[in-house]
Amino acid sequence: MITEHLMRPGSGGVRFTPDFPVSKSDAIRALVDENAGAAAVGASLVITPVRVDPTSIGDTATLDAALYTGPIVARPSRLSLEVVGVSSWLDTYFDTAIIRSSGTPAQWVGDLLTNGLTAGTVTAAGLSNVSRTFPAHSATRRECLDAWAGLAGAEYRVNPDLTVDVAEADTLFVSPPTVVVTKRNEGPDGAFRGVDGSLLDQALTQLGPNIATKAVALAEGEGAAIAKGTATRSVNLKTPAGGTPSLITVLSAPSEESANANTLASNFLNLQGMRRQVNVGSRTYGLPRFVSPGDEVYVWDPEAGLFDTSNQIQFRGETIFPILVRLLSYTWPIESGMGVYVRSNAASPTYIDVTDWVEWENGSETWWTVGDWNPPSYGSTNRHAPEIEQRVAGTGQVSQSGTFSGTTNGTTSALVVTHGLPWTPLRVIVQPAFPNGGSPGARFVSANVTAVSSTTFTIGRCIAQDGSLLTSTVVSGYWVAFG
Amino acid sequence: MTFTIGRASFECGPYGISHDGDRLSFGVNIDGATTTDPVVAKVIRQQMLGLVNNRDEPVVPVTWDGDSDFDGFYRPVAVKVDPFDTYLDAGLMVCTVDLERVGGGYAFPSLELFTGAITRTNSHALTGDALTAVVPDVSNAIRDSSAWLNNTATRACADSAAGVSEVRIFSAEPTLTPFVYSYWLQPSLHYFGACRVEVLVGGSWYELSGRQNWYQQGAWRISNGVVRLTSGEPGTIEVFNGTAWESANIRHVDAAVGALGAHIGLSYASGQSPLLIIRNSPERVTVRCAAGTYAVDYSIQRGAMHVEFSSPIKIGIGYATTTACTAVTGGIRTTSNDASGNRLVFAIAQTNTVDTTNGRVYQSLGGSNLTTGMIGVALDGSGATSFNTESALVNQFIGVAPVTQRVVSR
Repeated sequence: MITEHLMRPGSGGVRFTPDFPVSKSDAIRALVDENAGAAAVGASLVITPVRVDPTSIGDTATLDAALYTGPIVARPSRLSLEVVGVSSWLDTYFDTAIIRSSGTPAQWVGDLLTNGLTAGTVTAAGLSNVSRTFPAHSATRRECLDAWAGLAGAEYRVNPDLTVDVAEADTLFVSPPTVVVTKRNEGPDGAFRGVDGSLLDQALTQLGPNIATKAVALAEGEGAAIAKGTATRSVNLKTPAGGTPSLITVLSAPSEESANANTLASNFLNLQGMRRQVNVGSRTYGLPRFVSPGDEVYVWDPEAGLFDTSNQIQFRGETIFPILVRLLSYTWPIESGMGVYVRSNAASPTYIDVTDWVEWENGSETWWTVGDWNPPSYGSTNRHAPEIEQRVAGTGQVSQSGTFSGTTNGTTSALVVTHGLPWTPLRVIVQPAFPNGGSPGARFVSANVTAVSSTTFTIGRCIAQDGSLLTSTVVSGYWVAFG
Repeated sequence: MTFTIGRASFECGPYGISHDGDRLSFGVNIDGATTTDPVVAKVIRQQMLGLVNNRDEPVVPVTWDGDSDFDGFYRPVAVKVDPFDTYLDAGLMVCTVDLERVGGGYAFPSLELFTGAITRTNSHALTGDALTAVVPDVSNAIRDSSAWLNNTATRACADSAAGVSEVRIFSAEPTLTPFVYSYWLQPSLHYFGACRVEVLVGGSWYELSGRQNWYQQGAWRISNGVVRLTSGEPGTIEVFNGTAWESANIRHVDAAVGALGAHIGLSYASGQSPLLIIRNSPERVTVRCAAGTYAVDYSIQRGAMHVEFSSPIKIGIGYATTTACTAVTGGIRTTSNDASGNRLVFAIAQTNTVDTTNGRVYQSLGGSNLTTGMIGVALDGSGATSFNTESALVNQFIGVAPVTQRVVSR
């Protein structure tokens, strides 16, 4: 079985029949066993929808035709191999900081790819240029790619031919859907492809007391000065006694600015409601030929509550109104008729055709995970409001620090600091140096760091030990900027 | 003696009967008692083999006037039929059948109708009136989640059954709320008013079971006992008036020129277009015909007095011969009652062009290529009841109710 995810490597494995020739299993071992010396260059599993002859058609054509390419990461036995997705070559840190100011998508993709993965089709339309610094050893290349994609409004797909395509989601993946999953029908139908959804059901999770009626976001500040944002909603749920429930959840976000606290609470509350998930098991042969993670699909099963009257299509002579969801991941069987090979990692790769000895997984379902279609306020819209998504998810945040020294304003005690970053910080925290030159015990109020721009920020108030303002005074300290 | 299993009917009873809990096994012969026509024997064989792995009808009724204990609803587990050679040699094909009774009361289980109702996207600002549930008109009432319902209308049905002559129809204006109707029915009435696909074999019509259709040598028709559409050159649309079927000849229209085009079923003088069965369930059947650049799906739903068609190309529909018509919202209707006293109505959901002189309507050029339309028969024409007028039939086409019927334990 092979598991693939949207913008994640996935994993998989293949098993061979007991009559798998030793010559072939040894040849595979020689590629992956370090003790074999220089020959152990590593290898990938390549799966094509029909059997081909890689020797005849060549490496490029074989990979172009492939459904899947995945580096071999384990050989549990002579008769089995385990793989991960080809994008796992990006799960590496880097030694030199990657910095771009208003970098284009093509520039960022070129900066972040490595280990044999190269840029494929990069479509900049609709994407934002991004200014960002990724410090060395701060994150993996994949994490940086995810962070950049979030800021740019992009998604990416790592192809079996080792190229990476980048574009807006609607451009990169199939939208609107061409695949229609139903319980009864499969096969082509004009512009649509019916897929058997023999095991099709709607899962409802986060029910009962697991939902929230109020969210409180604890933003910047300390003690009683913590900035709080709140959001509430009414629900149909009742307590066991028939009353109105009070279910309050709290999110701690100390780096969040006070002005964003309510928005943060609102977005967080959206994630604390009932969640719908569609579970699909399908026996349609060779599903990866028709659909990939990231594609939108229609799913129709009114008996399971899977219908949406805003979508209306003509399918197999009937007007139906299916739900529209995104395929986020699926696990598919390796079925007879496919071609399976082991491809060496080399400038001129060689192929070992293992098709004749694969233990086929015919009859096994392909298990799908499709994205929530409710609540509609989240999802693709906020996917393109990356700052909101990042703050809620808590991912993609990077920081940089520095020092400052300067003379405060003669009237207000404010100090303007030039941070020198190539990006605009979302939040800055300051700390006075100790001792602080001629002003021992000086304090800065971080809550008064304002006017953050692409080049400077302002400490609004510098206070002496006795509580008076430090005007026209040399002060120094440290800053940490978050982006 | 009559023994029925699903849509197959035998003039002999089963033998070698074995009961094992809810499992029932027996043999039944396709022999001279039922038919001496080899082609009809093949039809019955198709009806038997179509019982298994039938997603459209996973539970079927079984009746036997030799032992009413048999009567009930069963899930076919396995069906084997002898090769056709044995019939040619010995006039006999043995069928061995393995069934499982529906739990919780196989003789009188609950039938559930899952349905919703939406407005079909159309260019005529019509909202529609969806036929959400249709049952034989017997004393068993329909119950939805909240109350016993009164029917909206009844229509005469040609299917023969003791004491029942009409189907009862419940309709609703399109809404978002999903409906679940439950009712109870004896197995002998299960196919009363049910949709079916039939093929003409040796001058007689035979129902097909499931989607596997090997028979491509003659005409086909789809029917629900109220209205039926028959392929041919020309095709016919018929309505049951309570006593007999009344027909009219119809034909597709070439939307590019507004002239008569392909025949119903796309059959040409050179031969029949293949018949592909898309769905064959009691609540709805859909068949597909394709020839050259034409492909048309024909559908009929239980209780409807109209037939739907759809095509991925621009297409039209109308009378096979010049007939004066009057424009109505969405299409045209016959201006005067025809010889049977009825009026036809043709409508297309998309923007369309009407030819009232010849009696044709076709999708206008420009816009999407998808055509969805209907052919309806307003029984009694100008004297039709309010539920059967031309505009009512168009509304019933615009209101979509994707009904799914299921036999469940009580």
